[in-house]
Amino acid sequence: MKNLEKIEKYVNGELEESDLWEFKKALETDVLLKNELRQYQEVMELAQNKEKQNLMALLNEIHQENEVSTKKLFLNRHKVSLIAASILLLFAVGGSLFLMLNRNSQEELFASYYSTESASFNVRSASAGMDQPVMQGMQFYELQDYNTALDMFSKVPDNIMGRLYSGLSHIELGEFDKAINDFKFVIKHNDNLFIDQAEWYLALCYLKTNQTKEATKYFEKIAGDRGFFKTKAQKLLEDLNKSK
Amino acid sequence: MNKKVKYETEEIIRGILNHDRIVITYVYKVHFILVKKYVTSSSGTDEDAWDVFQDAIGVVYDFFKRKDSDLSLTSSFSTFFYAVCFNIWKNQLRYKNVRRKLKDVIIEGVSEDEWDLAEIIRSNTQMRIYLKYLDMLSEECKKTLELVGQGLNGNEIADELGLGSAQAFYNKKRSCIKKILELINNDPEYQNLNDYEKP
Repeated sequence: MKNLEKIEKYVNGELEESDLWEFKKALETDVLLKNELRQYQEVMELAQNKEKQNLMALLNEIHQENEVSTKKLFLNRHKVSLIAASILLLFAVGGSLFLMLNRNSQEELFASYYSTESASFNVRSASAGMDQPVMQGMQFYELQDYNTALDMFSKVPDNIMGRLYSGLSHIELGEFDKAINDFKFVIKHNDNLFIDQAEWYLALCYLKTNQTKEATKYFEKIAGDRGFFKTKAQKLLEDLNKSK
Repeated sequence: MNKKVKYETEEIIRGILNHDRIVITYVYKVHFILVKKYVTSSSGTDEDAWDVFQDAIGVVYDFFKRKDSDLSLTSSFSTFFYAVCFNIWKNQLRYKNVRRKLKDVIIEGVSEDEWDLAEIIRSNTQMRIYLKYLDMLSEECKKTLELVGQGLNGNEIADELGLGSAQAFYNKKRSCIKKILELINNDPEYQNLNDYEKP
């Protein structure tokens, strides 16, 4: 919205007389300004209609309470798509392995081993589900609006998938310490589908922030496990040793 | 817990106007299933049905709010309510560019000039879209926009939010409004709502 400041002043009656005249004149010819003014007024009206908002909130509560059986169904479907999606993610990561070049500094190592994860879930079909903020967050993550995505994920701090993608969002924003916290949370919450990814990205964050010892510890663990990142971790360790 | 199984039209309407949880739960339980059945059998999804139902409750609310103290209908509540739902869904299909043409449903007992149905539906759809995106804003923005609606002045709100000055609040408010306008503007349903208006 280009004219927001002017429109606010106009609506609040704060425009000086000459500006006011100009504004009114512009309204007659400037369709964009006219539309923006109308939109602003509509949104303010909605914001002020507390009664309707409360009614809708109540209705949504009732809907939630009565949708239990549907929710159960959703969970099952959700799980399947999670597994499918994480397999997809793993393949994507595995594929990029072959394209990797030998680089040596830690910074370069990070850059060559890190690629933006895709949120390749069927987000739309799941959008009616119970952890809606996570689904919404994934949508924003996909749109690369990482700040808004983080707002969403922070609403359900106990959701494992949300925390994983919260960590990935922080990486995209260069906030590695926060990312480390998220991945640690996922790892600590044992027994979930995302530990492999969380460990891998945690190690990469340590690498990026020059905590080589911690990084090596995790890469060695991953290289010794039978997870999908095994080969990648082994390769990275080789590169890391070369650079020493 | 009220065990009453059936409500009279006026009781239902009064219940909706007064945000009466028991009455609204009753309306939900009795009517949502049927609305869902209707919508999903005419090219819609469960989610579409829920949107229609919410908008329809909003329309009923607005309609009787305007009529002040007269809560009577010449038809039964369900006849009235379904007619409202059908009309909303008909509009939605038009937005969605679905070819399927539904028959017009006349709303019994309400004369054409008594209300501008299209406008009331539009404002309720807007409200649903607004609330969807309000929910996506940060807690701070939500609180800010909430307080804007309560008629407090800038200094009072700044205090409430723990902001230093009224100016700080105005800046906050502007950035929140900007954010929600951006989100709303990118919503396909909202875009259709506006396109549809153009002659």
